[in-house]
Amino acid sequence: MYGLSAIGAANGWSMAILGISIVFAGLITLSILISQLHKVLDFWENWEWINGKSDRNTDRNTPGTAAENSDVQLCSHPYFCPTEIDELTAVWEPLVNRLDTPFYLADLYELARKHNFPHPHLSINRLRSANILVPIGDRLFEWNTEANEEE
Amino acid sequence: MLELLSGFINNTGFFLADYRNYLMIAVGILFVWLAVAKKYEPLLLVPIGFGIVVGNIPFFKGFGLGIYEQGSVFNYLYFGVTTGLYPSIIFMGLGAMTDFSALLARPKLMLLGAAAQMGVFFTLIGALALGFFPKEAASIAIIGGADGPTSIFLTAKLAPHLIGPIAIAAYSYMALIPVIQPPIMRLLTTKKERMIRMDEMRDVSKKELLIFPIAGTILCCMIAPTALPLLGMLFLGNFMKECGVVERLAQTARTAIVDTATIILGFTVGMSTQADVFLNAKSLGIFFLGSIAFSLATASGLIFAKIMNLFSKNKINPLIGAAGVSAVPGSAREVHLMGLHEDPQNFLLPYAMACNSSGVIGSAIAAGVLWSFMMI
Repeated sequence: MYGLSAIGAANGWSMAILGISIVFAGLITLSILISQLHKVLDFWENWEWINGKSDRNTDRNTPGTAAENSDVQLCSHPYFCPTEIDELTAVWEPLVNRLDTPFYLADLYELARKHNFPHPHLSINRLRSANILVPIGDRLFEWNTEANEEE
Repeated sequence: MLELLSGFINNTGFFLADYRNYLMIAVGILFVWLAVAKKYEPLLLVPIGFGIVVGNIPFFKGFGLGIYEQGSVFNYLYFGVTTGLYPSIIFMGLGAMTDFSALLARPKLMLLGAAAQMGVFFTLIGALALGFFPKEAASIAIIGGADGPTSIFLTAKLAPHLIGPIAIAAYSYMALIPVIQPPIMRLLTTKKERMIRMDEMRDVSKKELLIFPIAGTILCCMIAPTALPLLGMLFLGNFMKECGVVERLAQTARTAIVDTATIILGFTVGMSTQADVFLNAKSLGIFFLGSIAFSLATASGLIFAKIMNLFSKNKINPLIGAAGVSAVPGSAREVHLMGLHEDPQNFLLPYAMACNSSGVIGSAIAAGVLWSFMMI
């Protein structure tokens, strides 16, 4: 049997529609669950009545903790993003020093994410615009300290 | 003495071989060449290609040599394929390698992993229309999930006689991602769309990463219990990685164990393509439908991302939809490279990896659903 009759005989249409619906239902439910997970955890950790803590900020497993406890204190606050380019340069320079020169932006981006640097995409873009991160071809970049001093 | 010599010659591969054996040996050498010279998925194509060469050396039936002969060494190794053992082990290793933080930061991207699975079900209809039996059609359709272990697992359960061609088709298309996906991506997106920059991801806490594999196991396996051997092992591997107290086990799972399973799986699947059972019209149909399935899955992800953009305030780069197939990390890498090609500052890799990992979960659920349907 071939064609539409074969599809109909094997319940093909129903299987396709139902199959797509089940996969979507499963992944939508999972995505809703994980989208609310951090809120539930935040609520749980901040509910003094349950965990009996007077200090809400102690022992919180917030993203900042990783950066604050990392081997280098690269950023004073995980959500702090310097507005001045000098400040931004000062914050990012220790990170760049950990890479070999020249380096790929992807490596710098990964390192920044690893240390929970705030807005790495935006910051790298600003450093590029300020000519502090300079492309040298083949997608490689250098840290231009002279540009920083000139400014 | 002449009789002895004549008997020996009659048993040599040169005497027993016909043109089909030489053709398949050439295919095996092509696979090895693609892996070594072109670097197309070498971890998969080297064992598979070499397996094809070994499997197509003809031998006198009854010596207990062939992969299909009871009691042979290769038959014992093939046992892990026919029972679905190796795919489960590989999924555990995959879980121990996967970082779900990008997915947890942008759960919306999970929909793209689901959308790509539409290709699987469209292909199911196509395979039925071409005259394949329902169980064969389901096994062929799962190639669209672009996940070799899942394809092998489902085929082992539903249509074991098709493991060879389906596994070869699935892994070939995975290896050919750099050839197949970019034209579809370019065709279905505009330059402006390809340059869309994604919002930054929020940071994900350790607790979220710990809870996710447990919640994922319970939810996904409750929906499709038949996906347990795959998803249960995937999330076990991921939990071992994230919990931090069994780092030695996680390290072994993502290195030695997964590598061993990959070598034996690839080699035995390659061996199963013996010319006399592999070269037939059905195999050609499977290859044709496999390419359709893979292309449809890629297109479904891309189109669904564009549809999401119609209703969403924060636009998604539709290229990411192409990574909804579960070819980890090949399709994510292709998306990232195409994004960089259009805008050297646009790093799509974390977002594409999020879609990729949701594709792995999605294709395992799709396999479970298809298996359930065929049992009803």
